[in-house]
Amino acid sequence: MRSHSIFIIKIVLVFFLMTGVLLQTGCAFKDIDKTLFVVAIAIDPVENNEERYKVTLKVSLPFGAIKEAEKPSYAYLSNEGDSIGECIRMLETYADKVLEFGQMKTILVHELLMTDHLKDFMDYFMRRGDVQLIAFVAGASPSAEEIIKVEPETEAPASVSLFNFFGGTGTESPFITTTYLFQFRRDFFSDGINPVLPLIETNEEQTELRINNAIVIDQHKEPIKLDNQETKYYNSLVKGASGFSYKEIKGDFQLLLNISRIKMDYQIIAENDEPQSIEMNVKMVGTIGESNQPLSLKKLDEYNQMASNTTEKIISKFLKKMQEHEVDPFGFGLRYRATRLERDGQIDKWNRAYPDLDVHVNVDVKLQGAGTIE
Amino acid sequence: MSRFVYYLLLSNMVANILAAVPRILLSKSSEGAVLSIILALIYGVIGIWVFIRLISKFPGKNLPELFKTYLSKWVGVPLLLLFGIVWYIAGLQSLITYVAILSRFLTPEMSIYMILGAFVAVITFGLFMQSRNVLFLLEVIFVLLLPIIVLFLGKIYFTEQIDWDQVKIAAMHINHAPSYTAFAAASYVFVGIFDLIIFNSVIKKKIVFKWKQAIIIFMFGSITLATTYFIPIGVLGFDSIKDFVYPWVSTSDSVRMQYGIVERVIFLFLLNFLAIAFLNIMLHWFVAFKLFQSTFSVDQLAPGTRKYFSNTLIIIVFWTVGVLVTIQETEYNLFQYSNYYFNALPAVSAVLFIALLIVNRRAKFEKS
Repeated sequence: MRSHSIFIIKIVLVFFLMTGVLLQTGCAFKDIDKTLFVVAIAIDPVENNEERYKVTLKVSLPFGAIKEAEKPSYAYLSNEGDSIGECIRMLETYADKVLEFGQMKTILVHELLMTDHLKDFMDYFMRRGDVQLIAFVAGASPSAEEIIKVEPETEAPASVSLFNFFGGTGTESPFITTTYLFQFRRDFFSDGINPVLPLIETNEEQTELRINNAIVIDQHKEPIKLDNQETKYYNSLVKGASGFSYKEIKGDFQLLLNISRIKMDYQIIAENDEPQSIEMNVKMVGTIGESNQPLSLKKLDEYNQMASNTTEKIISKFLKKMQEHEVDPFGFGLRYRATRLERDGQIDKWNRAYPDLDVHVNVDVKLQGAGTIE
Repeated sequence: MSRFVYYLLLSNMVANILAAVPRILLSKSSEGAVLSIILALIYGVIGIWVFIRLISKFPGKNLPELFKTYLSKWVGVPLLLLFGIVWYIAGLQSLITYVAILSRFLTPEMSIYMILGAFVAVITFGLFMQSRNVLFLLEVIFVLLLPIIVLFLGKIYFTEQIDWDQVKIAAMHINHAPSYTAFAAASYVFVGIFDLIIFNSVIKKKIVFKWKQAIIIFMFGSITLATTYFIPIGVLGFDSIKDFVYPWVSTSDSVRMQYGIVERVIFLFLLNFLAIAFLNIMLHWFVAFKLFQSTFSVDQLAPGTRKYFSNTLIIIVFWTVGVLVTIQETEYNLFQYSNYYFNALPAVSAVLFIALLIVNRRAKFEKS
């Protein structure tokens, strides 16, 4: 009797499980041909109105076969509203299909909104569970809408240029900063570090994207723009990016180094919790990539010395500039907090001391060769 | 110690990486969470040592049998009912959290009843299994999934996404007095081993607990708690960690596996943890089910229609309460009630120890 009833239970359960499978239509979302995949979103201010935003979505359009398509095709939807959420809600009525944000990987924000406004955007993107936290965040100049509408000539069907630039997906260059959404939020809300965003620009004909500058963002201040030299050193030192573009000049002698490995560490020297100075050590390993004079391998040490000196100067100048603007893209303040027990007013103490701290940079360049010719 | 004992311990540890424990710990991040975790580690290992010493005297016997033999009915039955409820809530709490996570992240457009339905079907099936088979199921799922979970967690440890300065800042908050809630929540990761009160009847080998076992359990515990607490801080930042309702889901969403099958780790991560969660809920409810069976003397009934209907009745009650609570509960409520629940647990474990101590004394007395 007992085994009999257990058998019946099993049959019933198996039946229910099977019908459960039938009810699942493959995926919980709408059918793929009823869905529009948003690949990027651009946020702009509305002219003469501080409180309103203009949101533009880049929507990838499906095509039958990749072979037939010559260029990727996109549609752009845009709308103005008081908040991002409202804009997107209205945009849902502008298209006949469901807008799917799960594939959205680039968030472009107009230069002018790089201040306190960012809080509102982030709130919306984080609150929606379906937006990737590994989406790339970037600043856009002259406007986010213009940048999002650029369709570079090098863009191939079934690939999005805006994705390939970042995270080492396609091109890899020490000039390109990659900032993920979660990382941006973390640094934005942390005391003792300022997030850095890449700045995307375009050429006049709008046939290409150019990313070689960056912006340092502070909740309470105007954003500070880094030129491409500073951007490169930021990426090299903080993110360990390396590549073919470290220029060293001494008089009329010029070297271009191809650096393969960069390692940076620093210590914050403090007395009685009062920060005194920052000691930074940088190690660079690489080869010579270009020179305007014939080189001799015997003199590698000399070149090392020269490269070290010039790099030291560049980095010191860069750090000085950051101190003058009272921003901290390197996260020195974070390190300060991380190396001593937590106390009230710790961060205030640091913020007071930071602009006048002495920074000692010690660069050690180690060239391993001069390329294929002397 | 039998490997199944470790499985019981690990299932609860792994399942709680995603469930309620991290949120409670992280909410106390600037109010003494670090010290609470250290205390909970010590307390957990000592608690397990006491428990195993008490129960290993009776190999092959489970708690209801012991209570029946050595305790008066008036003490034993209410205690069994209490433990039954505690274990039931343990499962219910995981169930609610996972249903919420599922409906928020994995299947946002699916109705909550549908999601619950999947749980009902699988877990009910598990409840009717024999204790032995439950343990075997545990082993199969562990062998299949634990390597993947270890891979994910290892991957998170070694990615550039983690900012170790943030982790150090969290560790530097060690100079705050410990918080009881954080302590209770952190020691919850160890409760898996208490499922032995039922599974002891199928583990025939005598359980030994010496230095080696203590160190292994301590290691498991510290790795679990360190991962649970510090990794979300490293990825999401110390200053804004309290904003996250599901810190670990957001953390797993922040990990990128560029050359993985899916770039967003979150989906694989959630699916794996879901399997462990199913297992965890099933284990807790299996124990609760057995405890209720003895409370209402269903296990005394001769096999047949009456027993069958009684069991079905218990399960129907299980699910009615489960479904009603899951649908009613808001995220805030869940957080609040989990707090109360965790706070009560150290007291419950004390009651369990005292009861077992009395059982031990009487057993010794009877022998002599």
